[in-house]
Amino acid sequence: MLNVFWIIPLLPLLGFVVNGLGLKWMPRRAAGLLACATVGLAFAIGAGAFVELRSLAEGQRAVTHVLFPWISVGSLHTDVAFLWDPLSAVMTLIVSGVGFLIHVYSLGYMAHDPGYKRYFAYLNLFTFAMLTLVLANNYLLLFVGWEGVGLCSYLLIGFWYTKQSAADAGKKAFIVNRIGDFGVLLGMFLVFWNLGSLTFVDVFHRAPEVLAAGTALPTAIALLFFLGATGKSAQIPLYVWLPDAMEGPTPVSALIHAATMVTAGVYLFVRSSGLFALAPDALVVVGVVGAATAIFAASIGLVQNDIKRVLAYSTVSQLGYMFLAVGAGAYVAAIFHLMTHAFFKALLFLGSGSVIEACHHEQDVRKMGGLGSKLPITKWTFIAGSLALAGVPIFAGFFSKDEILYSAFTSGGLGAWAKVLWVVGAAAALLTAFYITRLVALTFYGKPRDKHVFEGAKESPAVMTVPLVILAVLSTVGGFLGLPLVPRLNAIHNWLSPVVGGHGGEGAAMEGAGHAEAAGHSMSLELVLMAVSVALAVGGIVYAWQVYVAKPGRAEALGRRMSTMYRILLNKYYVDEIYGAVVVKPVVEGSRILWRVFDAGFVDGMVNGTGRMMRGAAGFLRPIQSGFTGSYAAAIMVGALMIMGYVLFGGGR
Amino acid sequence: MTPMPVPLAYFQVLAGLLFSIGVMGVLFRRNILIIFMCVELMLNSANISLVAFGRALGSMDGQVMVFFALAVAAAEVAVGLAIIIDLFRKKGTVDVNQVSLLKG
Amino acid sequence: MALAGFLILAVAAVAGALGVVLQRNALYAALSLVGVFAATAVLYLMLSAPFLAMIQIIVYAGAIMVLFIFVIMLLSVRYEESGEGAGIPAGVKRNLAVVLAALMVGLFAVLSWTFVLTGRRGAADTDTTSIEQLGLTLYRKYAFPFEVASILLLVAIIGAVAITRRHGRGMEGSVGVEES
Repeated sequence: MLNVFWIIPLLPLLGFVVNGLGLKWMPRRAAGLLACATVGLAFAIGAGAFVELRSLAEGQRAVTHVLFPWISVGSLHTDVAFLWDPLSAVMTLIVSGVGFLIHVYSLGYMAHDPGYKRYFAYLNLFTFAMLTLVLANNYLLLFVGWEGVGLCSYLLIGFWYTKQSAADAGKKAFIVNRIGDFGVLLGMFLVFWNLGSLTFVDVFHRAPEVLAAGTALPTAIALLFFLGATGKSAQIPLYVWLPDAMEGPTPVSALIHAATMVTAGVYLFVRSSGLFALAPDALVVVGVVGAATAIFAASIGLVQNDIKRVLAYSTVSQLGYMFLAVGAGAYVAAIFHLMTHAFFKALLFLGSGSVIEACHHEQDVRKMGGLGSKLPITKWTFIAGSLALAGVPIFAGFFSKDEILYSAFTSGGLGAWAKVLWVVGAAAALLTAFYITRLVALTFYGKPRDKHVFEGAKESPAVMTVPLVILAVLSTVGGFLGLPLVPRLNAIHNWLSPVVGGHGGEGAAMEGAGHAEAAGHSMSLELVLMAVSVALAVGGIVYAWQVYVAKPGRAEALGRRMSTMYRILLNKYYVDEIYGAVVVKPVVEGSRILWRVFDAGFVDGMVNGTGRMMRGAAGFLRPIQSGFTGSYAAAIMVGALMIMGYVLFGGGR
Repeated sequence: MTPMPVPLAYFQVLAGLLFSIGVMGVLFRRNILIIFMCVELMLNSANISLVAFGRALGSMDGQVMVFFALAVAAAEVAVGLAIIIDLFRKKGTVDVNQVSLLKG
Repeated sequence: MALAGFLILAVAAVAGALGVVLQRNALYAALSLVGVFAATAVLYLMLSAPFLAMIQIIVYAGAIMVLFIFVIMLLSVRYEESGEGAGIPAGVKRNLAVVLAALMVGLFAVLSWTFVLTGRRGAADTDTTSIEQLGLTLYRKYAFPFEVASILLLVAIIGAVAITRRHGRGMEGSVGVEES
């Protein structure tokens, strides 16, 4: 299986081609089943290759397969080649596994949609692009996947393109991402220019020699890559597209905007850990921005009324945690949280999809309530996901979030910021617990607020609930892959740290991953911090329960007392409006002026002017052709005289 | 050989003068017949010049050339007048300014 | 003595030329041209070319001008219409004419006066050249052009006939005719 791992991305590509070309003649059911099969098969092969990879010795776990040589120009030699190592294996399994579950779920969710076949074609295309991204062995191919997922995001957000808001959201996503992509490109240019190659092994090998640690150049590269990450992974300042992206079908939100695409930025950073170890200042920036985003987004999620919006801001917030981990140098923790987040966030989104479907496409929680009795499976799986998100022990989110907070607290790289960011992260955890409990309470508990919605609700079919259950199980037990306190039992650490810490270098102790392990692992400190985070989580849940279920009037009372704050949060700090005024409006006005003055005035003027000039000149010259031979003869005579005069009296002898 | 009765230059000036007058006629008259006559005038002036030169050089070539020029002029007049008659039949006028079909 | 003769002839020629160019009546213009030819003929005599002088009268004045007068009368052209407004306006014409004329004459005068004749060509030694001499040159040196000239005349005849041929009917009135 290991030697055919490179088929993995090509399977969904095949699915896309068949479904895409066969939009007219493919039978509906077959299209959906084909799409699921390709991803399922990819997962199976991935699992097999994973097992085989494990059997290799720790230092040898890297298999490269070159599909074909791609670019060979000057000193740039990049191939289309895939790398199978612990990191890419984990990412592949997450993408294909969760992706498979979501594909299956979509069979039910999109069953009545006219664009069914197109949907599955796009979904497969996305899977192909994402797998290419994580399996690439060089930055250029990674960027191809990067752009590909961006494209699919646009296509799928705007899936119902006849709806104006959906089309706008798709454009917004793509354009904002583009700004980030600009940063990635510049970063890649700098990498190539200074290190002569874009292939990972080469880059990480040469980086320590060529780039001095802590200087401007690696810092610039890291910051440029981070710009791309803020776009793709929705951090401040380029997160604004993600809430709007909820216009797309819910499984799309689950797959792209929770489990996979938005994690691409994190993956990029973890993959480049060898490079960014040389830019500690940049990593501090990353950590600060991540933590700030975490609490910022969590605060907005507190008061949103659309189920999916709450989850969207939650995603932004959790991504912030991942970047906080990256900033602290805890790359393994970041990937661990990426994995657990994929489980529970996908679960939450799919669960919300189930709710929306049951309520006949109603998404406003103010119209829900008491749905728990009607949608039992959905309710219990959703609760599982919520507990995981909140960070309640034994559920997956607890282990990963806790590790991040611990790493932040003890991070040498973060320096003076370490404790501050820990406080921020902990506060965000409190808010997280609150908003998710609020969501659960408002949706499933209490008295139904809209009779019509309540009457029509019924549980979703098995094709949708089974993936929910599977994900709920994963959200519950998935955390055991990263058991803290006992290094030997921390499976994911042992799996990833050789790869993520010293890429290419023979286990040279770097500032990167394994920082938590390298510095003395203080068990007591960790236990204390763990206790604090559990307390915060439970406290948040209890308080939210009080506000929204036990004494329902309290919510409104709170709202009235803190009305200004409430309004600011509800309007998401008016960020979109600010962007609109500061960025969008000047650009639009500028282009309008350019259009009027330059294009219509100058360019058209030149073109039309040339025409007018020709007409004028022609009009001027036309009388010469008068038709009167006398005039012609006169002209000839004058010419002849002039020539004669010149020859005889002036010119050449 | 006997010198010329009148210096060569005089004949040339006369020829040039006649030629110029002929050119003026060709350019500025409107009646095509008169234009044609002016062309004949120009030819004639050239003939004078040729004969003068021939005499000055003591060669017969000048006279022979004029002989041929004369023959050609006769032929040319025949054809030219035929054309003028045809033109008159088609356009009803001999005014050169009225036949500006090449206009524009 | 010869100079005086030359001057008289020259004045006559120029006067006739001016008559051609300036007269309104086409018939008078034709007659002026005849006068020019006559003067030219006498000039030829002066230049020891008696044969040419005679030929000039016979061919030019006698044949060509007669043709001209035939056509003028045929087309009943008397006076040139004036002031049709087409072409170059009259004032401009006059000025242009003067300027051009001055230029040309000046040019020729300067050329002629500064021209220096070099060398002699032939052995024509006598005061009067004879037909014999002409014939010898013509049929020996210029035999080929002679034959070509005869063909040229043939072509001209055919051409003239072809152009004026009427397809069908005979000659009709000369004013306002329409081709059928």
